[in-house]
Amino acid sequence: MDLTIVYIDDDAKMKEDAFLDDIRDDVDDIQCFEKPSDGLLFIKDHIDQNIVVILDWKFNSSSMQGTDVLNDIDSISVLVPVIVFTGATIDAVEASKMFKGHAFSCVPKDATTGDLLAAINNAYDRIQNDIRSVMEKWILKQSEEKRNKPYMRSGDKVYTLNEILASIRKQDEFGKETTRGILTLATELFTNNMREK
Amino acid sequence: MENNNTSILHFKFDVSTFRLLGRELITDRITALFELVKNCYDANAEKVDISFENLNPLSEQSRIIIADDGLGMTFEDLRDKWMVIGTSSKRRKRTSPAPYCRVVAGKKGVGRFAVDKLGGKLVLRTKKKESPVWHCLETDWTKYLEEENRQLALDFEDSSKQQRLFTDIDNKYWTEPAEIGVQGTRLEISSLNDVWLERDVIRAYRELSKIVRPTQNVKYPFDICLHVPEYRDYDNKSVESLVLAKATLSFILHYRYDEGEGKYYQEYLKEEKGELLVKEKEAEAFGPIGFTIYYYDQEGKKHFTKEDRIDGIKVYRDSIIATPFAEYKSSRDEQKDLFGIDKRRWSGFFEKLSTRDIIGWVDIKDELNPEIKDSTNRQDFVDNKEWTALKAFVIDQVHQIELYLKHEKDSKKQKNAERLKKADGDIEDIKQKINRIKGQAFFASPEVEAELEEITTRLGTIKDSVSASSKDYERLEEDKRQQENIMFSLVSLQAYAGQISHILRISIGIIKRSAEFVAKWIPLGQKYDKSVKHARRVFEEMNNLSKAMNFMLSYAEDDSTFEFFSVKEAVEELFEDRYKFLFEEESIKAEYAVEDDFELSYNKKAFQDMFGNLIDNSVKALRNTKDKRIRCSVYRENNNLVMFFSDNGPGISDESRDRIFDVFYTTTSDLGGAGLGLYIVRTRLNSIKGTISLETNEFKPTGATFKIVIPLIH
Repeated sequence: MDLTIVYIDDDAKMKEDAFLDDIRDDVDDIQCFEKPSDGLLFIKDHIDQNIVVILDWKFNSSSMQGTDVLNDIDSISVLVPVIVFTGATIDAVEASKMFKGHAFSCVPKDATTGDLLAAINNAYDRIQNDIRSVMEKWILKQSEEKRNKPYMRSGDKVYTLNEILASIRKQDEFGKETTRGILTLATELFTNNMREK
Repeated sequence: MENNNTSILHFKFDVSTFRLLGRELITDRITALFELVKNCYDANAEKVDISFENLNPLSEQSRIIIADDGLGMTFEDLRDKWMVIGTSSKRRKRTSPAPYCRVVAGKKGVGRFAVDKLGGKLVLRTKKKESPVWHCLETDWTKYLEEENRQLALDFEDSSKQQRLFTDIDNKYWTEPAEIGVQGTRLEISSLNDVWLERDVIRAYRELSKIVRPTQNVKYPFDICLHVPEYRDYDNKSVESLVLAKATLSFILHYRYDEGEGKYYQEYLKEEKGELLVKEKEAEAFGPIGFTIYYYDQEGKKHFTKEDRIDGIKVYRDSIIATPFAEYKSSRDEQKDLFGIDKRRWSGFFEKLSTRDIIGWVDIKDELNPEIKDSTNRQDFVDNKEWTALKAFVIDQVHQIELYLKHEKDSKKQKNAERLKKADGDIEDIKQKINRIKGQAFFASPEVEAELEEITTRLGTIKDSVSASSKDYERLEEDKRQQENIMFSLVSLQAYAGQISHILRISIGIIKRSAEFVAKWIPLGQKYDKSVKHARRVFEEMNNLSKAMNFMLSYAEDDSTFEFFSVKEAVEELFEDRYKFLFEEESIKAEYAVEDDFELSYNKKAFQDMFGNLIDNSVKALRNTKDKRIRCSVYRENNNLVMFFSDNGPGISDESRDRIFDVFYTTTSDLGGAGLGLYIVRTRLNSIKGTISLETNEFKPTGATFKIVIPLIH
């Protein structure tokens, strides 16, 4: 898989966990961080890569908790899938925090590697198939020069590809509108094709 | 197949149906008045004046006038809402317009029926703030009554031609000039149906006092004032909230600005020797606040209706609720406990207040409390040091009330016990006095002697009963103390179980995945080195699991036996077994030193529990410390065991120093701290004539050090 796993967990011994050894050959890279802030920095600097984050939920040695990290990742890009990996019992209140932070899934700490791998595969599939991720990838394929040139006009404003990318990652109003527009266009093209046949 | 004779029929609504419906919905005039005032509340009124004029006897001048300063109605509202029976826009919207956002009280759209219940004629005047005119509407229910009577007199078979429907009757509408900026609705009801006696007005007052809510939107007052010139007690009388008036205890804490010093001063509650005093200190880091708190005991709670529940402490910023997410929820579990008041409760056994016992509000201002900010998800406040300090302040104030209540309860108990003892003594005195009289009463008749004899016998029986009650009382108290001891043990188990189950789940996961790795790769003959590593990991984690399990099993053993045990071994067990995983998990460097190996006669588990509580406290205190350390040293001094226990956490603030041993005092309620740990330690030590004290911290620059002394012979 063309994928980087970012694993954020303050329990040092988890770096040696069997699941990491098991999937090491299947992914491009695995990065482990004990401090959430270091993990966040890495995500920010490598946002152009396919990243799946595995996130511990209760941090003993940090003022940040899982929910804060989740929100911070969300503000970098909503397109990064986050799998919460926790030993805590998750009640409705905690679950609601996860949903609000757009966690992709939640796996208990006593899960098997198989369970974790299934969650990672699902997350990877989303990266591959989500229209927003497809648009992100297409923009990233363009040269930096091209990405900085005005590309489209919406209302009074002219957007470069990089600005469009930022909007898609943040899913602000313009980002949502552009995503919807592309989906409508794709459906239109697809059905046109069917009609012509 | 289509039927060519198809046509459409409409229901018709005659006058008597309307009146029948009204009688079903509004059963009496107090309810009618109540419904009309609820409408004022829903219209965001802050003031409602209810005037009763010429109530007794009734005359043409008899009036009930309900005037509010609410949002008022437009002509369209009047036509499309007020005049349409059964319409209620409130059914669709459950709250009144912002910023009041009151949970609407009237829901059925039956206010119009209510007017009919009170009197025959209504003149309604209403206007919105921006309207230049009052919209006026006169409804004469007597016309409807006449029509109803006329219809009832008609022959049913022939009535269709002469039938006038409810909707056919005219209501007069006109406008009157008005000042812009004024708003509200005024209902003037005349041709009253009934005489209002004073007791009817009293009933109305009581009912209305239920609308004045203490729990919701208190920042937008809803004042009701009665004007009844004929009954002086109820003339110009403000209706007070029944539930606030019935609070068992209530406090309003203010702040002030000292211009000379340029500082804010904050009022706070402090329990001292059974008295709850309002004191003043310099405002804390979170800034000065207004704080209002009401406490209800069981008696006080009886005054609450189902809807109007006691629901804890809220925060208002610049008069607007800052925590709408913490507002009333039908399910208690969904309701947010902003300050962690309930988290301190481990069970219902202790005399501890919960959000079900108190109503309160904290008033903050953007200008004075800038660091109390909403978090981005608007589900909480930003977790900074100011918010932590504010939470600690609120929890402390609740705790002061708890201490006061505990003192009250204890002193009541003591008085009862003393009274019983005194009664016992008094009876003995009387008995002796009668015996003396008997001895000297040689002049008494045999009848008197017999009477005295009987009194003495009866007194003897009463004395036996009082003595037995007194002993029962002591026994009950002793039973209660024992129950508390069992609870303490359970609490300590509960805290540990919470930690251990978290750790167990992680351990089991590690074992599972390592075993999975080995099972997958060994048969394939690949990743041999890694397989060895994970086989070893399985072994190590299994060892950890079995140690944890053994400790859990030790709880199943008897708690009451005293035994001679080695202090060194007991401390070793704690640091090497029981808390080893926790220290590892939390990256705490834990050291211990027991100078001499000597034996202590005590319950070993109770001894270890005391340490356990100190360790739990330190773990919580160390959560934000980088290089975490715990140190314990034990030695013998004369006939005492002396132990120093230290951590290098942030230490204990001057404020908390005197209070850390108090029951339920905690600075870590957000982490599930129950404020029991040190209380349990002190209580258990006291029971064996031991002591615990806070010493100068061993670790520098910050930390906490406790000294425990246990007599070796007790």
